[in-house]
Amino acid sequence: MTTPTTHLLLLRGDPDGTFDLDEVFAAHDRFTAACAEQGHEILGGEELGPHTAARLLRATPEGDVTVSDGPYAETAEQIGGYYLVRTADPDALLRLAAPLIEAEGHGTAELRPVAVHDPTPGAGAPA
Amino acid sequence: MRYVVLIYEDEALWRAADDAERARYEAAHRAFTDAARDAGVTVVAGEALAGVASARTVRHAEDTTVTDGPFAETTEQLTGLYLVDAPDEATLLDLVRLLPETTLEVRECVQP
Repeated sequence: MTTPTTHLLLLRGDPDGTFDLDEVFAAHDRFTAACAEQGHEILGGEELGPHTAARLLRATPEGDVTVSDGPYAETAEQIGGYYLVRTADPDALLRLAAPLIEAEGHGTAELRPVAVHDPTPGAGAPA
Repeated sequence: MRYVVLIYEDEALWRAADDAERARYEAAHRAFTDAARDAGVTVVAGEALAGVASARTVRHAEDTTVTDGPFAETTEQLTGLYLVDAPDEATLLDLVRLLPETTLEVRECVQP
């Protein structure tokens, strides 16, 4: 049995896409239920507000910091939400995630393992 | 309000970083979480991500495909994130200046 590790599931979709919101919510309900049944522990997750409301800080190599409105990249697909999941079987988790983006008709789901820094927790480890 | 702080940077910077540089990053993240607490901002969760080489992407358009690799092959990549509960965006924008990475995107969450 593989030791469970934490993964970030990033969901991207077209902010201007049209879809049945009830169907999308139902897909998320089925996803969380299937995760519980199959031993993928959902540690957290959020739906994000509009990407147009994002604020961006950017540091130059000289150390100057600029603040601007808008997301990191003006791509057709934008991050709409995420799940943080502890799982021993990332491939199975990814298969469960496919209906989440299918419900919106268009999009991507990206699964990334979190970094484990030894001995000191590094970036992103809350004190 | 809940916000996510999405952290972007060229992964090569971390790979090339020596012990002193890595210690500087860790100290900066500790300074961020300490200052957040002092400012009444709760860090709900935070993770550093493993390199994008380990990413898998499911893409759904006409049909569904699964590929190795991240969403986009950009110079900067998503390297980590924080979920925070902050009284307002201005407070959070001041705090994230403490973080050492080059680009930080602050996004409000849908739930109150």
